[in-house]
Amino acid sequence: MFAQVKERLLLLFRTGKYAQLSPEHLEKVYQVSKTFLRLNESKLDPLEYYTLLELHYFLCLLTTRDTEAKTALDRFSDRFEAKDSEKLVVLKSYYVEILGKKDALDYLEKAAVPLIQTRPSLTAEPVQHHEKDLRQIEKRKVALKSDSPASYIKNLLEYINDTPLDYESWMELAEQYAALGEYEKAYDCVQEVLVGVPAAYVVWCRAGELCRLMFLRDGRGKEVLQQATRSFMRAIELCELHTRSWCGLLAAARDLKDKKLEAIARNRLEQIVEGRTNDTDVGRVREVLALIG
Amino acid sequence: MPVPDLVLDPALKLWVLLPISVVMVLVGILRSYISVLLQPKMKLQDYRLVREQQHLARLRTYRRNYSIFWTKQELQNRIDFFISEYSGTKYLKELPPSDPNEIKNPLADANSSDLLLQMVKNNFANYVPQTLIMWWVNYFFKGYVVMRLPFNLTGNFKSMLQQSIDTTDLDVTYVSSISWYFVNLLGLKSIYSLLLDDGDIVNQLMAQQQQQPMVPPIAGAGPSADKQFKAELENLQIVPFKSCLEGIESRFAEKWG
Repeated sequence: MFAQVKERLLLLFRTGKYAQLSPEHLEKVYQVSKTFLRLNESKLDPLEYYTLLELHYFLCLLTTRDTEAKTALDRFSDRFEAKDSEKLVVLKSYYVEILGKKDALDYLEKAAVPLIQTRPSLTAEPVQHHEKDLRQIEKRKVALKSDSPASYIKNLLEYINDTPLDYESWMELAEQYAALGEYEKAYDCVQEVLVGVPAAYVVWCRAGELCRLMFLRDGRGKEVLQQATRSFMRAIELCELHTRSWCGLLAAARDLKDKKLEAIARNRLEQIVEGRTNDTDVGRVREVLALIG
Repeated sequence: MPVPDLVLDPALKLWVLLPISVVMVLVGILRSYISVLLQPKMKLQDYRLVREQQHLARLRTYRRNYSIFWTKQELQNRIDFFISEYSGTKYLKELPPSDPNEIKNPLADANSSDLLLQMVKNNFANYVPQTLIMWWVNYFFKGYVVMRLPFNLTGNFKSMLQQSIDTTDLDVTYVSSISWYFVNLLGLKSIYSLLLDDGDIVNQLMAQQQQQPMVPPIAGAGPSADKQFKAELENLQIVPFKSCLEGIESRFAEKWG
């Protein structure tokens, strides 16, 4: 039981899934995490303990438990020193952000100063550090300092130019472009992510959706729509249970007027609804089927 | 001719066997804490270096995973962009030296000299105590037969168990003091894990005792970044294009149709 709960929580943290949970679910996870940490503090090894504490901290923030979040933060500061730890500064900035976006930005600016201070060294020339060396803080700043979609995109591009392997940011950039209706640019970003993680079926699915959006926007040739189908198929090939891809495939097949493909997708989705392979998705699949049917 | 059984003074157990083991355990624990103290701090990396390395890695991932594109043209567009982008010095951490034959002094570089110092420190923390104990055992207990194993062994174990005792006829089950030291050196892992209660430290300790120094890459060695960029771009231009989406419809139809 101990190992199972631990693994579940760690997985939740690693995948970042906790940020997308529904409120009731979030509350449940919060209770589990709270009890688990209280009971097992001594059993966990330090790395796991602090990882779970970080998760707990975010859960507290998401469920608006400020004081408890502060307690978790204090536990971090008991162990690590803020003037040495970039990570801790970033964590704290989330707490400060509750007080106000501007405050968080000010806090980051101030906290960065001791981190990049040149330290005396006996053996070599002391290294001059640049503000941009603090990549985690830079990333956090991108989110905080942007006040409009355009400036957000600009800041993201700047950040990505320095760390092109940060696929999280690429994906965020894609979503920003998509929100502005610039699907071609979004599609390029998604492809960049796919080059990095070619087995990410969720990203394949997103690529397919963007292609379909291009088709819907300007109704141009079937080629984009076919590309959308191919992307959905690839996603399904990588993960047969990914319902969102099946829904996308169904929609794309309908647009293409490909009766056979449509029937396959519809059958499969109905099977999923009946088989209840994935409980959370079933409701949404029903909606989609009702909408398209 | 078999040698008659030796009579071992029971005081040997108390005054030789036990002290050697206790000293080794204590020194081992002390060393593990010293090595924790000596561990290097996380260093802040120059963002220009990170940028350079990540852009290089990006080109490498393109060479590996180009198959996600549907048409060759999509890939070609990107390659063309990369060629114009990466041919200059925009992403290099530092400009390439004007004289191509110039070799950088690895000791002048802060990072590599730190690495070297770290290596020296680790080795120091590793060799010094071992040498000291070995010297101590040899100085006080050289040529001691400290114990007799309760089971029989073949003659091959003689060199392992009876170092520093040069009698060919002595039964192999007798163990010399310096051999006891070696047995301790290699076999104390379970004791450490019991005492230190931390798997990581123990593994570290055992790895250190078995002494395999790692050779870290030193700055100035290997091709410079601008040459690596060039090489990666060339590699990228000659990839044989094939899309992973090719034939996906038939694969799909076969499975679900």
